[in-house]
Amino acid sequence: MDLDQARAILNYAHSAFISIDERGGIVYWNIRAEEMFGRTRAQAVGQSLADMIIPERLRDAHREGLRRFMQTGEGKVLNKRLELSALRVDGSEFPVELTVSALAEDRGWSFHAFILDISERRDAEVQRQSLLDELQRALRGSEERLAVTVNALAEAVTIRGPDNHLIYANQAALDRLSLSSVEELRRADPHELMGPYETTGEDGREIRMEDLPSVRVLRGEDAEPLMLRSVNRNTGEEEWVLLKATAVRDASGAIEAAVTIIENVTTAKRSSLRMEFLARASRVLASSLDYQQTLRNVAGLAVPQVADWCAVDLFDAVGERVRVAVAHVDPAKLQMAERLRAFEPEELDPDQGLGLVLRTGEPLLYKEIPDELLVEAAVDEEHLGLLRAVGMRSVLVVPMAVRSRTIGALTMVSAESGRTFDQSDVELAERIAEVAALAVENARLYSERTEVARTLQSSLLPEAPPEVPGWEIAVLYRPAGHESEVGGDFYDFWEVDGDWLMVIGDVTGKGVRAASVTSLVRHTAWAASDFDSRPGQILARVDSALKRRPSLSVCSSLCLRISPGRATLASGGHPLPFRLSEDGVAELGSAGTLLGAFTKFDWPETEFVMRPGDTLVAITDGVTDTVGLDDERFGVSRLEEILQATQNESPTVIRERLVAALEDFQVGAQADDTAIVIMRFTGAPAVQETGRLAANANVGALGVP
Amino acid sequence: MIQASPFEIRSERNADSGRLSLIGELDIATSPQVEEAARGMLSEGVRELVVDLREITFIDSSGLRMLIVLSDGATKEGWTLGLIRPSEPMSVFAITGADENLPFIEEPAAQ
Repeated sequence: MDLDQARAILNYAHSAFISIDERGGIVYWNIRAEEMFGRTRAQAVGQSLADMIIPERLRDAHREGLRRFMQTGEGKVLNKRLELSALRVDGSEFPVELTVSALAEDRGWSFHAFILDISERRDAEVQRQSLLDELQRALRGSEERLAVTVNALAEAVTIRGPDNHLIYANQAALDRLSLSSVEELRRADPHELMGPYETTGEDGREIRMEDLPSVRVLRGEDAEPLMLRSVNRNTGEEEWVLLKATAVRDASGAIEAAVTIIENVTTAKRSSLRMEFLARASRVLASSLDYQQTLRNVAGLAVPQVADWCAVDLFDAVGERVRVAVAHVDPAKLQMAERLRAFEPEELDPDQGLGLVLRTGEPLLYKEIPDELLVEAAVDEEHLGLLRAVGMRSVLVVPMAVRSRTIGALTMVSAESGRTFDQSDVELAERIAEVAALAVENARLYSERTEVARTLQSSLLPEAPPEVPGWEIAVLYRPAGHESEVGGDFYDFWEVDGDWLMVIGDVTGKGVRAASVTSLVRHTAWAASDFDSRPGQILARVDSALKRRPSLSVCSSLCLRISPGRATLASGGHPLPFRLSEDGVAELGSAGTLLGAFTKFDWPETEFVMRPGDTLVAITDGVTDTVGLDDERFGVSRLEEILQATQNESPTVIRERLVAALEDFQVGAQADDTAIVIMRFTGAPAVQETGRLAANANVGALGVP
Repeated sequence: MIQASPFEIRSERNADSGRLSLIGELDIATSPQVEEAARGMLSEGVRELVVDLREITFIDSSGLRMLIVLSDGATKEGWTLGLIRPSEPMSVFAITGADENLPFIEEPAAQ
């Protein structure tokens, strides 16, 4: 899941969605934006936002705001609902509501806006104002006139008197409150009228009567419009309403009553909540290749806005279920889910719930969960008790499918919030499941690829440094970049005629192509050593083998033949090794031609003595090319310093110091493969190669001088 | 990945000869850009290409490989490549034999 996929979803958003870069240039423009502003994506992308949709008088403020944010990181307009004027292609202006968020990306900041055309809402506001004027007059006149005016409105209107009692409601408001007449309304306790509803604000906090705008207006406060979510406890229906209250004053200016206009904004609010959720979920899903964690994050996002519970189950290759995530806002409830899990049968019932979804690949909606259903599903009394304790009101299960194969299911449960799910919830869940399924599939493919790469890599490296008599050996191999790429560095040891050959090399490039070159180099070197095991000759054979390949294949390599007390080496364009001895640290050998690359070549051999305690260190250029702060390279001198400081240590210790120094130095991701071979000559081998050696060893052991 | 230090390719063209002057570090991140720029020039009809390495500050095995690929291409495709040595000696040319094998040219006068 990448940005493109997230954008594919955003493309069909109900709101216009526009992204801009730090300089105000448009980088994304969805279909709804094309309709709203009358410009196609091709016309908009690359242009300045100011020129496209901002009325001229506001452009300076926009540029100034952008500039200030870039300088100070402060954005006055970020993450809140704004109402502004926008410009269509024909030059006409219209009111919009927008929310802008800023996102720091690799390439710098980007800004994203959801934009809604609120022309209709504005018109309604104008109407509402004239209605209020009318109401003011009517309150002082006759009630009949009031009723005639207000009942014609589709929107619910209530009037609250100074003692907080509702004194009037139009027909739409009476319907909402399930009352038959204004008289009934006047008799009712105002608290009781709120009774059948579970009311919460946008932040999920409970809304009490004293929080209502009309009640606040009566207290003399300035009450801003209040968006609240009400769930009818009886029907489970969820509604989002916007309450706007205005004071009605008498001739002396004292507050006489408060008029509330109740606007049902359920459709718009749900749609914007869902877009937000989808956008967040897309980002979460795109953020990690650890799909188990990713799915846990998505389940977490769904509660409590979309559902009280959210669970993700994946089915493995044989259709067995693995629950990967359950989320609930209350951790105590999560324990309940675990206990419930213990009662679930091993085999899924193909005729209900998950089993049914797995079998049919179709979503399932249980709008209401009657107690009988729980009784039917429960295996025993304890199970039933638990099921009842969850208090499920409504459940939906949607399949997670990849290319018509159902790989899992997303389950959402509505419980304590008391709302029932409907078709639009199923649709939202399906979109989430679709994106989540893709994330899982990507992660699976990725881990398979990683597995292949690991196998390939391990076939290219000796499993562990071999036991070479008289030598103590430590090796290191750190592949760069993604695990799924096979690196081009290698090393190898093998025995020839009682001596040992060591080859370390670096094939330029990565991936399967580099791997096949690596394999060719190693096999050629092995085969060549059977005929002539002199390092220069081995490199010559490898060079010709590489040159026979159809495409340019280049490799640097160091070949070393070791026997007790001495070694011969040749380099094929590879960094020369170091010898650590009493005399300090010295580079050994002389340069030779890169393999597979050039027509003029030479692989001179150097023979040298290794005294007991002397150590050879061979590396690939990944070590010296390691990038640190300010693009500085690790370089040869740092390497020499470390070798100097560790020359009396064992190969393992030297390796650990080197790794620590590299890790300290390195900034950012490792750019290149790194291979290191460290070999210390410990003295005469313990094996009885010659009678004299064995005899000496025995004499020494007996303490005879 | 960390941000690489600014790398720059200056290109000049005069009829069928072209010149790419490289400034900065020639490594795994920047080498492909040079190869692309060179390919671009060749596709526009350049037959003599000079790659000026005087102002490079670093070259790794990917950079060297890219130069070998260009040199190989020149031989096989029948165009001429000339390389101007970095002003600071780069050890990779010495340890790989590239010094004797890549088509380095001496440029009498600096620009």
